[in-house]
Amino acid sequence: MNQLYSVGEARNRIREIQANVREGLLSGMVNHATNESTIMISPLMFEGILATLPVVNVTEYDEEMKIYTIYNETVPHFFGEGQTPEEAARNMVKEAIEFSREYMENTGTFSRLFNGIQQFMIGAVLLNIDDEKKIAEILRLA
Amino acid sequence: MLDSVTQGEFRRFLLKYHFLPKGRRKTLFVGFIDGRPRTVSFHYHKDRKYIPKGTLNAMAKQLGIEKDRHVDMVKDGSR
Repeated sequence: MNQLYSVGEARNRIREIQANVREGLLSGMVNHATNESTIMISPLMFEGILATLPVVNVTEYDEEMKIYTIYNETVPHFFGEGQTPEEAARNMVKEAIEFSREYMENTGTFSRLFNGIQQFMIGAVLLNIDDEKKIAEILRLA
Repeated sequence: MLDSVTQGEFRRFLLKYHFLPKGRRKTLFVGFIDGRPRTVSFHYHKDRKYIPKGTLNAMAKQLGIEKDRHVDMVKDGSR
């Protein structure tokens, strides 16, 4: 059974595709006119990938300014400053949300500047944009 | 504070490399260094205010430049 669908097939067989994805099969859609492809995965798989991502945050302290900075190694645009590491972590979550929103508004520019793993992390933040607790979990700050 | 950088110095560095602000907040800058497109988050408040070292390192990482070279480039670019 082929899990790769054309755009027309995907439109007509969306229920079948959703069922396959729910059962843990990867399904792909190919637009033969543009050669663009899309892969659909289940939330379970998505969470699994997210949980195994090597997320590393760097904490640095500026002794002269007495300010902590935390930034993410993979997406250093996710960073926060604060008088304490906790405050810096909270600000990092806020900055990650703001940055991801800006990314979404300018995907034409930014998608060319970030690699796949960076896009995955930004996408994961966007999927949970209204849930700061979940974003803190994604960034391993919780 | 030899290896420290002020917000004004960083702003002049961005201008020298023709970085342009993108997005609503105008805090995301896009430009080219060494022929490669780069992007950096930068919040400008005061010309003479220093950027914390950790933040400066995060910005170097965003630009894909080594820390020491980054400070040198910013200092050169702001003259």
